[in-house]
Amino acid sequence: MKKSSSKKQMEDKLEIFAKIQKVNAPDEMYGNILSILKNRENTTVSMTWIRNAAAAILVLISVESYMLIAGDFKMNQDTTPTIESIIPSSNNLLIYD
Amino acid sequence: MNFQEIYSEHSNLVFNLCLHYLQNKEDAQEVAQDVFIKVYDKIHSFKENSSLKTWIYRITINTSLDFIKAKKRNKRIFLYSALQIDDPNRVIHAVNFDHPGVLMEDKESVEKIFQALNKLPVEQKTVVILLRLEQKTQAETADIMLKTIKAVESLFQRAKKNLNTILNENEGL
Repeated sequence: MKKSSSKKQMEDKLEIFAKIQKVNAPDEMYGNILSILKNRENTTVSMTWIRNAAAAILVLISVESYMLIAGDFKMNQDTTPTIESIIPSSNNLLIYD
Repeated sequence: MNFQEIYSEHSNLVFNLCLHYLQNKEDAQEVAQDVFIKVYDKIHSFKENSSLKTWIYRITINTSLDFIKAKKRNKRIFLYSALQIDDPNRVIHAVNFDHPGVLMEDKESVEKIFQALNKLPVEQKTVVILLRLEQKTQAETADIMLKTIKAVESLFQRAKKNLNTILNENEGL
């Protein structure tokens, strides 16, 4: 009994929502939407630019990788250090003027 | 149907639904604009499994809920950083109530119920909004929410019970 009366009470409280009137959307809203869409189109980067940028980045990465690999290859070819590269050649001549 | 026709047919519906979720004119306008931008972007992918109106209802509900979530997150961050308050939930539900559809004499009582409504879980809140504020039938509500009529009925019963508890707690304060 108590349960049903509290439900009824809640229903009554919710009845107040029926009094809320529908309002019209603000007049400026459509204009705002159109300007957002227009601005977005202007700021959007075209696919051509994206493709060009991607191609440029790929070329740079390829060149960089090639240089690294070529450098490694050169170093690998010449692994045993010569005695000159370790001990700088010294001048053994003693000159007494 | 072109975009302008879609807008003129659904703008009031979207704006009023946003108002019911956000209870603030400025926020509702911002969200309603976002809704129409989403509609513009996704209209090509709209499959006619449901009516256009139902589809727009779903977009509006999801966008409003996302906005509320983002606003709560921002408030939480602000409160933690600026005030160092231990329990940010205390003020999270404070909405700047500005619903132009509410009559002056009803404002206080409607605001109280909206405050309680804002504390409900999102699905319960949505059911109350669609059934009582949008005056939709249970079948229409079920269609919009992608649920069975039975599930809608049960959500509504739970919503009423929780609303009653929240309102009684608030009156006791």
